[in-house]
Amino acid sequence: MSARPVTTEDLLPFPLVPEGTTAKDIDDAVSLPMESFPTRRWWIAFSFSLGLLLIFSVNVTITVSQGIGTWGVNNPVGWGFAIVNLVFWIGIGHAGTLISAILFLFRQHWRTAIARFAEAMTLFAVLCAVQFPVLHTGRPWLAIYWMVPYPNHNNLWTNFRSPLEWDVFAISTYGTVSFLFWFLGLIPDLALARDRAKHPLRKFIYGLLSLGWNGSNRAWSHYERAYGLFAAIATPLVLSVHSVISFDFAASIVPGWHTTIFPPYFVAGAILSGFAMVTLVVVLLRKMFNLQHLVTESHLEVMNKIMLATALMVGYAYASEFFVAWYSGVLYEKYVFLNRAMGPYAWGYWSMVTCNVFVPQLLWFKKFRRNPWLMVPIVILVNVGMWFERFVIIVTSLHRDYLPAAWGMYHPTWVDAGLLVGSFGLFFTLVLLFVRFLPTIAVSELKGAVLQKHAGAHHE
Amino acid sequence: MSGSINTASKRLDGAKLSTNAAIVAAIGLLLSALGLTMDPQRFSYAWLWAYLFFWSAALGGLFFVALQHLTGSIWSVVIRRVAESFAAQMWVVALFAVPILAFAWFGDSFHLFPWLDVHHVEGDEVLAGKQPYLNVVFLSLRIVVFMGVWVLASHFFVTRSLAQDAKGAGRNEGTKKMRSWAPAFMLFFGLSVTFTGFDLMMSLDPHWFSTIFGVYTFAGVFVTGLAVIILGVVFLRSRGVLDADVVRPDHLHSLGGLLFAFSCFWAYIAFSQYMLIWYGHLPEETSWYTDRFVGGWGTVSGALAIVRWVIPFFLLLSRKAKTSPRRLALVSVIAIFGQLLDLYWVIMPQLHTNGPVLSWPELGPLLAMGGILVWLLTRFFARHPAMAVGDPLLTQSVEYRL
Amino acid sequence: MNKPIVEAGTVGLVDDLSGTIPSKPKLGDKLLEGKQEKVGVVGLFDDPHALVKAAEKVRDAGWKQWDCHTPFPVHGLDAAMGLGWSKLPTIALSLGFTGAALALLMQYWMSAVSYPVHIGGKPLFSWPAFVPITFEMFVLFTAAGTVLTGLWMCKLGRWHSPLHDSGVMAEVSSSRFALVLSAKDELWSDGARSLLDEAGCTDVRDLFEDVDDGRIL
Repeated sequence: MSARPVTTEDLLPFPLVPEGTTAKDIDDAVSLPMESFPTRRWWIAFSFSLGLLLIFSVNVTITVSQGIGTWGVNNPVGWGFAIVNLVFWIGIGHAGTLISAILFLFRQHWRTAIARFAEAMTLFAVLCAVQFPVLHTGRPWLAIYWMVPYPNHNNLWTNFRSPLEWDVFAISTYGTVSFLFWFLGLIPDLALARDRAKHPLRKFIYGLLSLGWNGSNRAWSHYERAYGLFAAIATPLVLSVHSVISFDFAASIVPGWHTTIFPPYFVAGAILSGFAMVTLVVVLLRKMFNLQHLVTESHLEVMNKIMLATALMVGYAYASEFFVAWYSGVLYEKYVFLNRAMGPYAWGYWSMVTCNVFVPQLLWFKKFRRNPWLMVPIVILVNVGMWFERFVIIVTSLHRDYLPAAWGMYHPTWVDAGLLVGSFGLFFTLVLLFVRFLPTIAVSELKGAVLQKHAGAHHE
Repeated sequence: MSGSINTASKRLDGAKLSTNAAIVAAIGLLLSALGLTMDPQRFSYAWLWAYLFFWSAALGGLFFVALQHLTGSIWSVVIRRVAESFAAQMWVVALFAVPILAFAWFGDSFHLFPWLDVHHVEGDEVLAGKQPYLNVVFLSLRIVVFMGVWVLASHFFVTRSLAQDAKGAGRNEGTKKMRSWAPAFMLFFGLSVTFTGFDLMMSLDPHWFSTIFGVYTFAGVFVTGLAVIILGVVFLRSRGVLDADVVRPDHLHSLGGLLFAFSCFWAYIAFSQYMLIWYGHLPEETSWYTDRFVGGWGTVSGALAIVRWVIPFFLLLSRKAKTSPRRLALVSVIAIFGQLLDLYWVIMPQLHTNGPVLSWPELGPLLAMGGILVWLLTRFFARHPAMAVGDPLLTQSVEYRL
Repeated sequence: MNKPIVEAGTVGLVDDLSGTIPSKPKLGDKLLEGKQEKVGVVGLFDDPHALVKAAEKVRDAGWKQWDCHTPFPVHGLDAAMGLGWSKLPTIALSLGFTGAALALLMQYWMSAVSYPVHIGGKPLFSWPAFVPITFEMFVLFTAAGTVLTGLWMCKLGRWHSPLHDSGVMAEVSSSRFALVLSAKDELWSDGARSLLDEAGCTDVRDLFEDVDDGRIL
């Protein structure tokens, strides 16, 4: 504890931008990556991502041409990497909506600097996630009639009592709404890009996308309400999406899956993994594009605090599952949890607990919350841990259920691994294209938050 | 600006209110004593019901206070004292918990916790297996430790805030100190609420289990906390103790928004629990719900969804509603009724298996504890300002706009 | 402040702020010399608070056809302009509730009427199982309703406006605050700009609109 007396400024939220930042500074800083030729760092990152994307494409081709027999899924473990990856990627996406919607409703102004990154990540993560259940159908073009209710020649409707069908609706709604929300936020910034553009083609494209936005206050008054309403509906939506994903497991009666805490537990885990990914991407991008003065260490600190909170919630869920499995007195429940911690997949379980619960405890220390070099290993480990969480849930519950005669082991193949690794290529390729062509920080919102304060101070 | 803040140091003139509260408390105590002598078991259920309700209100207030310090929130400074006033009553709630210890230690006369019944446990492998957790000593230990920490935490947050009222030096340090303790309290809060839910509600049907029950308990606690805070704010505002220019519609909107959001959160948790158990259809889980669809209980189950979620949802949907003191007060009353209904629905089917029963023995403890708490609250506001007038962030809070 | 080299109102390459006139027409150039028509005046402010003050004056003078243009939503400007509360949420939420009702009806009809199948021992109309999709459709319809209503209310999808034609837009997008008095208003007269002068605006310009925009794109 320092002896310095606490000032009122210490108690107030940290300033969003350094003192004396003007609107033009913000415009220039955000527009720089869009208006200048990409740096070497960008090209290196982009080539690497494209390489991973190539791996993804090759493995998609193998899967579609030869069938999912190329995967490691078997009987009893009918859900393998594909579903693990689905849940993992959907979870990553949740941070974006959380930051753009929930933190907006709580009027956390610091979110402004990272909201756009995070929303874009949501979209790309959902896109990555969707690949897996679609590929899991083997021949997706034949799967439409049992996923989407339309009058088909079989005269059958989809099964609305199936959580898998809820997924179709939840994920497609999530993707659509996230896109619309993201685009809505982009409109004023696209107008800025249009007005700054020198090349007529750029001007035309940004002009077209900005839908003729002219900053009219008659439009702003509706726009703000639309944005608020979007935030209000995206909040329960983001809770519902991972809850519906959790229903895929919890609505069954497989021991270890059928437990009522799954919906909020999955949501907390999703936020943890999503924040870890946002932090990772933000740390890299602010370095790549010199945005350290707009995305400050104080921003990172708040994000790390939220990560710590969600890590504790996830730890709570692990513990309560374990406790209630014992408390329930149900033989199968007890067994499945002992098997997780001490069975053949114990390494997965302890990786999960270590990465998701123990490692984030370092974030109690201010140094780890503010130093990018110290937090990067943590956020990477959290992502590893969150992937293992889904692996543990899916594989350990399936590989040994009620009858020992039906027990087995799961061995992923190279195609499984290729799809997982390759999906990161899809994700990072899209992220890098996004930072190259679209405003990565919500410029108008940031200017509003910064300049209004000045105007207000002037007024007093 | 500073002129309008000063008006808040007005005190509540609650002489009439406190007399009425004392009368209600006296009637309640009388009814409780009658109930105790006539049917100890029924009395113990009624006491537990009333206790859990007022516990929700006090703990909800404490949680709200800690949450504001945890998030470093500014808007809430002007209304935080109202939450503190509820948290400040934690010590008397701890006294209300003493009879529950008695119900446990004298299990043979009260039959509140079925797992205490030796005949019940004998020959039941599952219940016997739970003995390491479900036993009198461990239960009492949990109740005492939880209560002790809650009382200490309330004392910590409330006295520090009251100390700031003098506007002396070191106020900033006080706020900083409360902020640095808030995370630790939150950790404890999460665990203690969960296990209180398990101990005092879930274990009434000792075979039943639900991992989400702790979250369900929390949802009820926070909604109740918000409802009583809003009711307190609207009441003090209507009496002119809180200035309507200081506690503005902007602040009311934030409170209303939270009540709206957490009513929906409750619905989300309640639905998740119900749907998953309905879907899984395992006998050890569904029995709890089938008990709650027997006879008149079905109606109560349906009413619960309507009172706790449907009505608050539609009444608070519009922005205008969230800023209207009348509407907020109405929804708060409904939310408070909802919590009473919810606890009733969780607790009572274990006793009245054929259908809901509600008469004077149920109302006795409710009136007694309610009367005592209202009496204490009026005294609190007669002694202390209704607003944290010495909080270093008060000016910023008054200037808060949507 | 970077002033456009080609002043508003003159005919020329409004889009190309470099000021050099290329010899060959390229994308974005005007092929024909379009006619321009004066459609109002615009006053530019550097401070949002000054704009709010000016807006109050214009509102009190009884103007109807006028608007403010700002780089971000300015606090208190809605009231200063006398704008009512946006009806957008009401319309969007009504659509959302319609969507939810349709979703529930659809699930009921398809599962219990059109082709009833017993699955998992659940009733044909098993409402708990229908809640998730009903909810998702509520959100989807509200979102679609918000976007469509928003496009319509914000008058988006009209890529053409006098502000763009006059080059004022670039300044507004960056950091200036414009108040536009339209010639369509009943109170319009050639002296309208004096209202802006009185409001303390030091940068008042005539606003022109391209009547015949001969641009390639």
